[in-house]
Amino acid sequence: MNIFPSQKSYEKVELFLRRHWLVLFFIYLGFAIMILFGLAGFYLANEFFDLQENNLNLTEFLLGLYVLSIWYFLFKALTDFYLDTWIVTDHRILEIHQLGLFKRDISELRLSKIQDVTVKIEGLLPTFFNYGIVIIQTAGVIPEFKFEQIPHPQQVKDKILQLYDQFIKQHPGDQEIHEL
Amino acid sequence: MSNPITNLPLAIFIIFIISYAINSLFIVYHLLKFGLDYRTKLLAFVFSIGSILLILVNFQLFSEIQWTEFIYEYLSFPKII
Repeated sequence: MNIFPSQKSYEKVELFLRRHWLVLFFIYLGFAIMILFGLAGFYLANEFFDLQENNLNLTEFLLGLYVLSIWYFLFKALTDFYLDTWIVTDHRILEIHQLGLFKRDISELRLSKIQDVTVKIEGLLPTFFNYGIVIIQTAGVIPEFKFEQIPHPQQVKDKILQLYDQFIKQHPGDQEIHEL
Repeated sequence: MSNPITNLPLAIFIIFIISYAINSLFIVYHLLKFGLDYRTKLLAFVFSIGSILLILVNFQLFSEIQWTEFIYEYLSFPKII
């Protein structure tokens, strides 16, 4: 079964990566704080201005609109999170970036074009939760591929280098043996 | 004939909901078309259901407001007889 649309029949997906769950946690936390902020505003307005009938209805309606907007922006952020993916197969690497709703970048790198792989874990949280950036220097048009905030970057780097060695062994002269 | 000023909140609210619905459709479209696993489909479903429910709640809250009273008494619009 194909995991992504352009997957070849002989191609095996080795890694399917998204950002670390902590990034998702911070998205939820940010929006939870915003909801609490709205509820606190409603409570304070009710407490200090002693809202009656029509004013109370109006404030409830404004709170409803605020929650509706938060709901939209939360899912927009989640769309960005879930549609940013990095796929490593035994033949190539795909980097899919969703930038807002109408901009989508898809870059592809054949494993033979890898020149160097670097891991960067910077900061307190990435060190504790073991996530970071994997940078792949390439010999292609795009000078580098960046896997951002991915979990277990060291293991990912090792896997990519292992797949590279395997690919070079199986494809002498960078010829696609499956398509001959 | 009703005063057009009193229909203004309804018109603004309807425009807001229509723009919201269009933007929401874009999100659902992206999640369904470009999502690569079940989680994006689930997300699209939860978002759609939640949005529909919240829009219905907002319609209910909107209908409970006495807009005529609000406009004339608080915003001090002159009454057209």
